[in-house]
Amino acid sequence: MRRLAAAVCVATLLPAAAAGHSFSDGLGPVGYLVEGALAVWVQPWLILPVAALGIGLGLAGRMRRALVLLGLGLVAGLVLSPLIVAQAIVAPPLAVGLVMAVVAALVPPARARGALPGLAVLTGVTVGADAIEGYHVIDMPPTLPVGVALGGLLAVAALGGAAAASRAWLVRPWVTILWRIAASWVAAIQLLYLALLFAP
Amino acid sequence: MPKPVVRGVAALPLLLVATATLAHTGAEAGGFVSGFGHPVRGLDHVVAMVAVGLWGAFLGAPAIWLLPVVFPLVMALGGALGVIGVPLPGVETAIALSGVVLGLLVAFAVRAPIWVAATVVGVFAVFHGHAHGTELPGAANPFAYGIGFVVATGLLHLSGIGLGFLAGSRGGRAVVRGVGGLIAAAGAVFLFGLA
Repeated sequence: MRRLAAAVCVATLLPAAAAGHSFSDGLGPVGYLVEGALAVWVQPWLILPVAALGIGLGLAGRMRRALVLLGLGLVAGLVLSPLIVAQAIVAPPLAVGLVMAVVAALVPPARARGALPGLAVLTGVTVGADAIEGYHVIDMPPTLPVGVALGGLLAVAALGGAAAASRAWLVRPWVTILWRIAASWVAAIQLLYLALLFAP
Repeated sequence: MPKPVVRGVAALPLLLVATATLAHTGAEAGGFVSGFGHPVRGLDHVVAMVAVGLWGAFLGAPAIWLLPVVFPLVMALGGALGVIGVPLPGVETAIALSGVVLGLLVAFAVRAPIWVAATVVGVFAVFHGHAHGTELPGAANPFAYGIGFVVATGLLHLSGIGLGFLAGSRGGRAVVRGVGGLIAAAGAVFLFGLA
């Protein structure tokens, strides 16, 4: 697992193609809050890692602790964004999300629990930093980074909650199978996305 | 003139009213629909995907969830090789062979250890993924295309698993094995270039 974590850290440093997202001007506080949340929800390279984490937490449990760590990671990513990314880059969150999705799909929940706290923090840092594209958080309307953090937390909580609730209500093996298959689809899509970034 | 006929004649001018065009607008070409259609339209892909689900259901836990999970992951790896331009020899042959081998495994109800089953499925998945991946960069919307073929592949697995649940009864077991034989025959048709 330490090697895996080291590989993820290296992958997060890989440069990749820039992907544009410009923030709107003149929105009110609520508008910026929504804009921040949408930055996470509508960009595939941000929502896919968040979805992977949600499924992983829904299968393995310990959601509250992981959500706190994800929140801390998002705050850290938002604050450190100018130091980590110069603009929106796609690879780091996708690399973290790929590892998370593979863990959710293949690793038994009892074993996966050990890796989840670290992956929650890494997901938060990479998604938070990437969502505001390297801007200084103090130069932004205050509700925009709040929207980013809330958007990430809500997406993970919603998907993780759906996975956990479906497993609790329909106590059937195929429910877990379906979520693991979904995780493998998320992993496959992220892997293809990463390959496209490095296509000649 | 009877009323229905009058109404029919009165409705004829409606045929001349122009409607929105649906086909080949370019909006869907190379996007999700194209990606979704790639595994579904190719019978060689379809039979192999269904066979993966069937064999998984036949083997029971943990293969029933491990095979449909392993396949998309390794297929994406093959797809990534195709995307970045790494050549892979004998892709079409391997895809056809996958139908034959997986079909025979179902037909003869082969109970392989899980690591053997995962390896067999994984090896074939690389070739299926490579075939999809080589078409991906040229697609109008490669990301949507990728989502389309991953989802279609997964749904074909699930349909195979659903069919495989028939194996719970004696008669159903015979049906499932028969389907395996048909899949192997279809794979042979592709392998020997008869279709």
